[in-house]
Amino acid sequence: VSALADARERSEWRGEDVTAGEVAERLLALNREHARHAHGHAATRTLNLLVAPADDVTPDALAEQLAGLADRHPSRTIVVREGAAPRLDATVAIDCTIGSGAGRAGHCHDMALLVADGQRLAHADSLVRPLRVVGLPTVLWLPGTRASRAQEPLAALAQAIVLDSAAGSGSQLPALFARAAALDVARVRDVAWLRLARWRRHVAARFDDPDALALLARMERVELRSCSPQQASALLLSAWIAARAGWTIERLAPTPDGWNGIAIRPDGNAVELALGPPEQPDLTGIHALALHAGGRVIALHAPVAAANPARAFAAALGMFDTATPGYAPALAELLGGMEAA
Amino acid sequence: VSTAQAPAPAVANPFAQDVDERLPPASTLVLFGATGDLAARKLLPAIYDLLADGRVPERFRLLAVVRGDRDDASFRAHARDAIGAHARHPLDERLWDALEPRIDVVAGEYGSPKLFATLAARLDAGDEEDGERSQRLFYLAISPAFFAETARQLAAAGLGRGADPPTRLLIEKPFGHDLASARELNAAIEESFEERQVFRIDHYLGKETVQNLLVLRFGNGIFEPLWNRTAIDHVQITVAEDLGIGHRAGYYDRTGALRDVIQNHALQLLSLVAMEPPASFDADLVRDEKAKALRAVRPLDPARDAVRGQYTAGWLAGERVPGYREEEDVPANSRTETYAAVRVEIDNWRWAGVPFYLRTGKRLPLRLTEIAIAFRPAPHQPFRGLDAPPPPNELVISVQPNEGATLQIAAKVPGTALRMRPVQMDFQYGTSFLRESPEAYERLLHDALLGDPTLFTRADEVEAAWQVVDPLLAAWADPRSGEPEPYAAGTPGPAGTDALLVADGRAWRPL
Repeated sequence: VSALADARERSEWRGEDVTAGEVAERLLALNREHARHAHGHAATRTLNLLVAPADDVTPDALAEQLAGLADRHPSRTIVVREGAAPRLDATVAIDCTIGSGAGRAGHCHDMALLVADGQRLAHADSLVRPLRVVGLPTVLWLPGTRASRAQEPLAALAQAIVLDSAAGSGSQLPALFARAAALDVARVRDVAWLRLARWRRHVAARFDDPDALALLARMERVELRSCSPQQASALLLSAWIAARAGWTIERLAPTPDGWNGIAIRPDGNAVELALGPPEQPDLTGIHALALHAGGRVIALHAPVAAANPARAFAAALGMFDTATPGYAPALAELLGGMEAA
Repeated sequence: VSTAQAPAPAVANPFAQDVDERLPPASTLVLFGATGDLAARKLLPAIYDLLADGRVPERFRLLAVVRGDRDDASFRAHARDAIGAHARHPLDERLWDALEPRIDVVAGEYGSPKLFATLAARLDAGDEEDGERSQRLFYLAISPAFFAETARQLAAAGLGRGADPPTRLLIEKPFGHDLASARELNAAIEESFEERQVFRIDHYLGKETVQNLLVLRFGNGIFEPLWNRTAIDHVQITVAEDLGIGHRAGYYDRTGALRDVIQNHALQLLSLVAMEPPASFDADLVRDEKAKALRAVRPLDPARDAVRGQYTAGWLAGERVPGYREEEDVPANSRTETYAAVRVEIDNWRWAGVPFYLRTGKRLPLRLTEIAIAFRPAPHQPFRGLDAPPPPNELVISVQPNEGATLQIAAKVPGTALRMRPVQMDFQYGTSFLRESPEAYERLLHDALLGDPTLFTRADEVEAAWQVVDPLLAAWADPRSGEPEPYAAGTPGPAGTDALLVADGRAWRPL
């Protein structure tokens, strides 16, 4: 057991060429050991978090994201990575945050890192089944832009699948949206979509105004301004507006500094979609939306309190059991337009 | 968007179906008592925290009504300090820059019609500037003595009953000081505002665990079948405070523990425990059931059903603290109770014969609010040779400081002998959900902005609660009833409080 500078404790076991059964035993043993010596540390697990990182996600980057996550959403975390050697290697750890101040309990969560060859990964569900906490919901997280070999078998175990279409940009985006659409979309929690929660509230609130609502049928142009890392979210926002307004996106193609497209209103007239860069280089996120109709403009600026992007992933996990209405129709419009282009 | 003569659309807002939480409409919050303690510690920080969480409408204004000659700049500086000191979110300059210009001051005397005329004009001017009419919420964080008159003046300025744009009146307990005055206050307010416009705040109802009590009862299948006289032996509701009265002697000495806590917080908790399941979580259906539970409380007998106490000097957390009568501005012969315990019976089919014991006090050993549901023991113990039967099951819902719930069950002690010991199945918000709960005032302000009155107390609930405590107030006000029983600060209350339960063969949970 080592005490870290930031008031955390970690107990760890590593094994090479092991079986999933051995890993499960070690996990149990570590938990028993921890319970015996826990001084006011409560084990906190609200779900089984399966992680299948793509090969473009470095172990350090993943560890950093997981470390931050545990403070917000404690899980039994099971990471499944691909290794070169034809065997299963494993690391099992319990991480505890020390309670600071009188009466404050610390909290602990556990993690298993499995590194397996491709053949085993194709049956990753069999590796993971003995390690899950029975009775807790299971969520699969797919970090990175490419698919892991473990994705498909693990997806079968999961109630929800968390991914981030904003993990890439520009020409990578169609493939990322297609990846989400290829999964069971009702179970997908796309962080790029969840980042839009405040924008969607904002848009919905503006169209509570009957005058604004009346303009929707006469809309001619939708303009969105966003920084590059938020392009995926900006595309989803424009596609959501189109889907809910009853438009069909006919074409959506990248330009040197954004995306341009055409949507068709139910009356057959066209709506221009224009996604561009921020008006000032220091602006971040999606910062402006303007909807033009007959010389009038509905202008919305970024909500004053932007959600903390670093917490979007934790929020996505927190919403694993909450439906995301609007996402599937937005995704379908987006892909329809991209494919046509 | 122009508002000029656009035809009403035939379709609903298609975007509304996909948002998890609706933003309130354009709003102006008019805060009376804006320089007071409640505003500084709770209300201004709650507004900022709502803003930081993206729950404030795009068009939001705060009009601070103050007495004296404060100007916008000095009040804004005061608000900034209060937010910096008490908000959950750290002060973010970008957010503050957005909020600051939306804060304005209206100065005047609460009884002066001029203040209310100015206020009405300022509200209209704000709407004109924003190009949108905003709903108006009047939060009276002022002495209850001004409630009725302020409501009347607001109505006289066209801001009460039937106002357009719509208005709401938010008031904080105490709602009267006995049944008669509560009725009088409700009647006075009703002359100026419709009941649906009046949002009476008992901040306990904004607490996460209090709302979770409803989820626990009605969202789980296992509890409700046991939630009655067949399975439950008794219920204990404790609202214990370790603090004294601070600088509130003027208020507290006129009020006492019965009015300060039992009449509102404790009886609200009781009504949530005792209420029948509402058909839906419609605000009025929930409040109907709560009011019915309170109306079913058997009239209290002051001699048999209640105990009062007053703390004397003692030791608390290693410090010597003064007695109540030694506190600043407390009369040396004060008969005000700082501790009250009552035994409540609810005369209906569900609860007949199940006593509810309520207690509250100042300068008790710790700060704790909890509801303990004590179940009946197993009817037969088949285990031979036990030293003692296992203690009965208890479900303890902890409201503060550690929000959560614990179920106590008996378990076999490992070993060859058959021995049993109580163990706890524990749920704590702090470990199961690591996200911070919003403060009670955030939740309540947000609900008020949305116009959802579920977590606010209706006039008939207030009156039903006064009806419960009125016989005790009358009895204790009589000098012939003697003085409150003394208890040393740092102890769990007066000795006589145990007698309430001992007579029933029970004991208080230890404090």
